[in-house]
Amino acid sequence: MINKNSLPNKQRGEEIIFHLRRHWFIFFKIAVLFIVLMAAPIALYILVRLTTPTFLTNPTNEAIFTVALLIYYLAMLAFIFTMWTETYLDVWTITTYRIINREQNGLFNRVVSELDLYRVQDVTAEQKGFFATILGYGHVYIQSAGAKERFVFEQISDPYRIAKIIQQLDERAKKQKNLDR
Amino acid sequence: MVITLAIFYYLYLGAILLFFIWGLFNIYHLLRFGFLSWVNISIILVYILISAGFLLWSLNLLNNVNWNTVLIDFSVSANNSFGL
Repeated sequence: MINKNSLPNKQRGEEIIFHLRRHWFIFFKIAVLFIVLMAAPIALYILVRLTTPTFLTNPTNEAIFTVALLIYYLAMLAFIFTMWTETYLDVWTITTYRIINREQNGLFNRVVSELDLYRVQDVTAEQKGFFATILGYGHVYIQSAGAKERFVFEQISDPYRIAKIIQQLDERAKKQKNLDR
Repeated sequence: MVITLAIFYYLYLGAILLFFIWGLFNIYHLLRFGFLSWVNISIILVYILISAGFLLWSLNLLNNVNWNTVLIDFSVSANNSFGL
């Protein structure tokens, strides 16, 4: 596991400001989806018992239905854990000099990119949707002059405050860059 | 030659193997790329406990099934086709 305070290619004097993750509500939605998916076969079982009550009295049918149900539950458990892994491993780190974007897109696709703060051109915060507005989460878009033109902090808490902090850090980084010349 | 209900049991064992491998990939990613935190460690442990508990319960449940029940008997079908 990675130490929270460690930085890849750390520069002299560089400090971590904070790490950002998706809002807790996103993880809550995964939990709700998990409960719904786990309850679905129970509903199906009740439906089968009500519509064709003799179907499951046959031991062979019961055994096949049980195996199918168990395979379904295994698949859902694997699916939900994978969703957690993908969501939890999306981390955005803001340091005094740069932004580090770590995104897990699927189980076998990980993207890590960095942006120097002085290359930031524009920062936009967005809150869209009922739950996003009520619970205070949204996206922050960072336009850059680097190879990767746009960074997106997805579904993070308090996006307007984060955007303001990045703008302040960007101004500070640009001033420092001018002083160093 | 007969096909018994056991084919579904082997199917379930195959599903368990896939589940185990997939879970290992997930845990590997969390250990390799996740932060050293109580949340990360707890989730991994909870997943392992739930998975192990579920697998033990399911195998125990399937122990009560008579897997020798014949589904298809090819020898009977072949005899019938020759009018015997």
